[in-house]
Amino acid sequence: MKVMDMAEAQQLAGWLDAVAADQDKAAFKQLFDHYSGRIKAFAMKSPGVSGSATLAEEIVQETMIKVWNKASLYDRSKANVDAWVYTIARNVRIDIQRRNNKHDNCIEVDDIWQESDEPGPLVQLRQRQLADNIRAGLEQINPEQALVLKKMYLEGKSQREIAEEFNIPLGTVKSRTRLALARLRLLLQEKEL
Amino acid sequence: MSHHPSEHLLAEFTSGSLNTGAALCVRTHLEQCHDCNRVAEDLNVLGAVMMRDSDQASCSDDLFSRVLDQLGSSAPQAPFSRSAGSKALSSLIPGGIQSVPWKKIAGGVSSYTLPINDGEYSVKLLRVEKGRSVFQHTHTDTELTVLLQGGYSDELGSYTAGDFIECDGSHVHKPVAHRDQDCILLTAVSGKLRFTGAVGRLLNPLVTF
Ligand SMILES: [Zn+2]
Repeated sequence: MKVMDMAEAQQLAGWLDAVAADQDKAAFKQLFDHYSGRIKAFAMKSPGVSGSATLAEEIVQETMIKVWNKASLYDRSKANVDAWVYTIARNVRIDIQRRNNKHDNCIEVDDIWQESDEPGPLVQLRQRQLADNIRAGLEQINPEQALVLKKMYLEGKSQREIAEEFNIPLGTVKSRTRLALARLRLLLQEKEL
Repeated sequence: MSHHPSEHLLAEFTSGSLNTGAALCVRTHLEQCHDCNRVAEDLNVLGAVMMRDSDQASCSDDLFSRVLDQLGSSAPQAPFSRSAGSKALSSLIPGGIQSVPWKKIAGGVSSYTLPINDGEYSVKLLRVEKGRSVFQHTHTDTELTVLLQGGYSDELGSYTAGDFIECDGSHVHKPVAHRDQDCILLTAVSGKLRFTGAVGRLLNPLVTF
């Protein structure tokens, strides 16, 4: 089990602060080195990208440019950097999927999937503990259930698409998702006690 | 506010796997609900953990320099505040609820179709005049509803502004607007509505919400 240490979280937040305050390109390079390979792997799995390295790198580029542009909006009291970057990459992926499906909507992705605007000084600390607990929990839940969560979060697949991929009823996918979340929630509560 | 989206639906939302119509309903509830926001944040952390711990792909050597080129000389954005409390829905109806060009579809019920084309959901605003009802209906698939104004009751409960209601084919209901004011709803429906009452059945071939 990998435990994300506090030093790493602080480091990431520090680099982001340097980008925001001084447009520090060396700090930006550190963030790029930390995230680009992960975002690319994340993007490669998306159905809209269908394994195209070129398209996946476009998602990396677009995400990192947004990280640069939005650095000053990042508030370390509100989210940890991993969660913040995840939401940006996720929104870029949704945008690409929309373009692929030729769904033209009169509403921007960022208008619906906004980053958090929930205040709270303890969020950063809470989220870091939460991340470690979730990581531990994911290793304990039923692999079939964990797989459904992976398909959703890493591949952006809808419940229907997952049902088709595994050739199982939609109801089964839904109940696996429900059970996975309930089990995870239970494991998290045990940790908090 | 006492009716919330299921954690299951919030997971679909935060994973980005929910289509735009349904996501708009979830967002509209999140804008008003502290508790669900908190759950959504936790679920974002779940996504972040998965992204962080999954494998890494190696990127082209020149990818960083390509990113730098695109940053150009432009400075990072000054913090712009998405106007506090800005609503996703307001980008679709900039003039507000008052400006909506309602179309009458039945006695006491008007609708307005929002310009969302996500390939799955049909997204509408519905206005039910105070005390009036929508014909009893059921769904072949999913109906998500967020109450924007007023309240209504049906066989399953009573709902007020901000409440989020998820119905599927197993629910047959006949919502009745509360008597104090007109009730305005945002709904996303996948599959077809089927009217089930005696009068409603006559409408099935005629009315598409
Ligand atoms: Zn809620």
